[in-house]
Amino acid sequence: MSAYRIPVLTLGLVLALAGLHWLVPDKTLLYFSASDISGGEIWRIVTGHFVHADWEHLLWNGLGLTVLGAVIEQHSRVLVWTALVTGVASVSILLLTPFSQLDYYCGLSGVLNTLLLVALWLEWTRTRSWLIIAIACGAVAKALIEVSLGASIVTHISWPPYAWSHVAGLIGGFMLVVSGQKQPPILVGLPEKMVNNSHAQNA
Amino acid sequence: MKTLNHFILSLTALFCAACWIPAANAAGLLIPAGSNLLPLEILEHHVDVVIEDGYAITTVEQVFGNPNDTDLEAIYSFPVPARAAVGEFTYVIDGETVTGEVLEKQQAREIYEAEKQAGRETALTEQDEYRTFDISVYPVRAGQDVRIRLTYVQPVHVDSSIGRYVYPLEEGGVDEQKLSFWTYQEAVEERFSFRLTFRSSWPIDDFRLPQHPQAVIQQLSDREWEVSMVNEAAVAEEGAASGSAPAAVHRLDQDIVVYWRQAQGLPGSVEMVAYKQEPGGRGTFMMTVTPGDDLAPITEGRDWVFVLDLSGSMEGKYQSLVEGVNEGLARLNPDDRFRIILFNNQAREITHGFAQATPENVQRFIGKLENNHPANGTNLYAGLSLGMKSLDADRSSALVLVTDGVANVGHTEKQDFLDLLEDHDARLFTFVMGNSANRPLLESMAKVSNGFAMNVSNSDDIAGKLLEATSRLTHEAMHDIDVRFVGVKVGDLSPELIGSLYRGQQLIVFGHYWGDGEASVILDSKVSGQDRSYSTRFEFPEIATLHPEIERLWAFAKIEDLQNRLDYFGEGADLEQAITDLAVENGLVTDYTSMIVLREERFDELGIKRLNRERVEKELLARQERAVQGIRDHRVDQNQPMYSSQRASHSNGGGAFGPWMLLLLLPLLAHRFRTQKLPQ
Repeated sequence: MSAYRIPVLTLGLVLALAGLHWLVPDKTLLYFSASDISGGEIWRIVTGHFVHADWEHLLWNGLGLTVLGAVIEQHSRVLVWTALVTGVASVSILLLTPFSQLDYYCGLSGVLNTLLLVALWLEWTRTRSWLIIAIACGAVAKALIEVSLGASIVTHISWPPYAWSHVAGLIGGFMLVVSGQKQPPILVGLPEKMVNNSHAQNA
Repeated sequence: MKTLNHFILSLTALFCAACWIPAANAAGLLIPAGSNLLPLEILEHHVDVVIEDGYAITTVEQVFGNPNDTDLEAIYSFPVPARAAVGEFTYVIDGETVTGEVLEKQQAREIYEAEKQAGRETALTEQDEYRTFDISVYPVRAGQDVRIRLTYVQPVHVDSSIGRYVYPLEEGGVDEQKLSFWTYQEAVEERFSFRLTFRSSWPIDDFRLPQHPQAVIQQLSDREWEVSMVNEAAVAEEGAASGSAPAAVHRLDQDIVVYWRQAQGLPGSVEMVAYKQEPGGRGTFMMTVTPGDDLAPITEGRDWVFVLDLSGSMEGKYQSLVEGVNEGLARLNPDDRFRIILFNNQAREITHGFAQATPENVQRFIGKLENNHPANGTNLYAGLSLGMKSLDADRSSALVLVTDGVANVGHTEKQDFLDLLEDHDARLFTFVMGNSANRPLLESMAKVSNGFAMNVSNSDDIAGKLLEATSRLTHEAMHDIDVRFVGVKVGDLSPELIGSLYRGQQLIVFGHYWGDGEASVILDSKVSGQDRSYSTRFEFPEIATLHPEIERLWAFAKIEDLQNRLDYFGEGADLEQAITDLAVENGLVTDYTSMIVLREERFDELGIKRLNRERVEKELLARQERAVQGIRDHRVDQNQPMYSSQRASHSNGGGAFGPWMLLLLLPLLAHRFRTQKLPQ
């Protein structure tokens, strides 16, 4: 049960991100755009989060996905998908509100913040280590600093930073963790196998 | 709106893609085709750029070497940078740096030839219309080298909070006569460097050189950045095999494009930089207006007329152009209409009147476009003229012109084009590809029609240019702009006709003032037919000596106005003389004037006044003084802001996890593996 599981799903997702960036040089039809989505191009709700402005943008987010996906996938592959869907939903809701005022958005970093909170919660419930709390505080502090400065810390991608997407991602992660308390144990980190057994018994 | 956005995005992508073709030519030493001599060498090429206070000063220092056993003349040619006022040209003679003087073009050429005949050192910088600056240096002694330096000043624009600087090197290959006679030697053999120092009173979030990832970008503060690229030949090891030609350390065949992005949320503003030596004298100023983002999005449908260049120089780019038109048309609303005009020696319409943008029509006309092949000359007038026909007065019409060349068939006079544009109510949006298109003509036409011309370099960031065009075309624009000053005597304003400003564009106005004190500045305009005014009050200084370059910039802008008037009204000896006088007085290389360097004593012998040397010394002193000072804030409307809204910026965003976040994640990863054996 405790053996290391190769994060096949995560690595596949990272390869898919790189492939998308490499194979689609003109991503204008894939960016998140509230006006285009309201005009019927609903695919942008999903694709906008998985395309990147440049290679540096992709590099940092790809590394983030590798680490967070690998951690969550040790618990459950379904949970990786659940966190991704929740992250996409929470960041998209923000981008669709008049508050965001963005014409175009791209990148996975907002969604990664959902994965981050889920990963931290899983590790906290498993080990109760104060290191997890420290990391969570660091992540929240970074998001707040970026929002107050209106800039990304250290990274310089070709699109202006939109720090509120990180906050939205964290909120999405928080909601997922809270709702997971009242849902099947998969959301709080029990292994998939146990959940499947439980479902089978119920059936 | 959605449709328009898509359409423009695709179009711009098309234009960028179309010009994304390796350049055929470059800046470099001109070598006579078929010459038996070894070519002269560019041993060193150093570019030093300082961008601050609203303008860029570019200094290019070069060393040319002669590997032959006979003295030769070096001719170095490079594309004319946009709005570059060349005011300093020096040549090292006998170890002494000698500064050039500006003379009437023919006179300067005659003196150069006479000095060359006499075997004396001399150098000449001439402008070949809008195409190139050509530097001639004589002699490059057998087995020796020469060092020259050229400095030019340009106002720097920021568009939608993105600044852009281009060091142009690619030559577009549109001058066939020149190309048949010369070959280009663009390799730098020993040392190449590009250094840029940037200081801004506004915080800058990021700096980019999209096509030069090897550049080292250093952020000294949020207002001060440095960029450097240095390539040096490896020093040959003792005893190493000799005789093989050294590999070039750099090739001068790719434009260097630099972008910077201002912080989000900066206000619309008015900035002014002035130069006034004497309290009672005449001052010169440069006022930069960065409008607030208060122009509404456009919602109405339009008629689009594509006027596409099918001349021989489009070979290799045409298929990309067709693909782009296909992409653009496919996204039009079925209520929109389009026409497609192709031009080379003649123009012809493949749509035969406006076609509704239905999928069937799009497919049909794209098929027709694909059956054409670029060839022959460029009858731009015929293309535009046909495009202007049958416009519907009840609908908003826009012409999209894409060209990389010059008008060389049929009507080629600028005046004819301006008359054509003035006679029709349609906006012209021109995409000027590369450095060799007839930029003055294309920009004047766009201005007359209240449209805009957008320069696109092969080194530009496609996404950036795309957003720039989209931002402009999807919003209302300010038209019939007029700027008035009340309270201080102001005159000699340039541009004489401001015309239109699109979303994100800055307005830069040069002028003279007399006296000093507080003045009201009123900017009147029309937006969607309604009057709209903005105003502020600020102080014109009694004395200001830090920016003498403003005088050259004003003179250059004024010369552009005079040239436009000359083009519009035809031949005018008075206007030509006015341009020459202004250029000589302010030490500027133009179509009518050149800058010549002679041995110091020869200036005296030929009775040439050393006006430019004095001006250059004054500018050098000011530059030294500025370098030791802190960053200066030139905003003048703090007390009474002209705009209540923030300046425009590209409303796009992304976010990267970044190294700090990964530093946070590493302990998480380590923790995970350290505790792997704990229960899940």
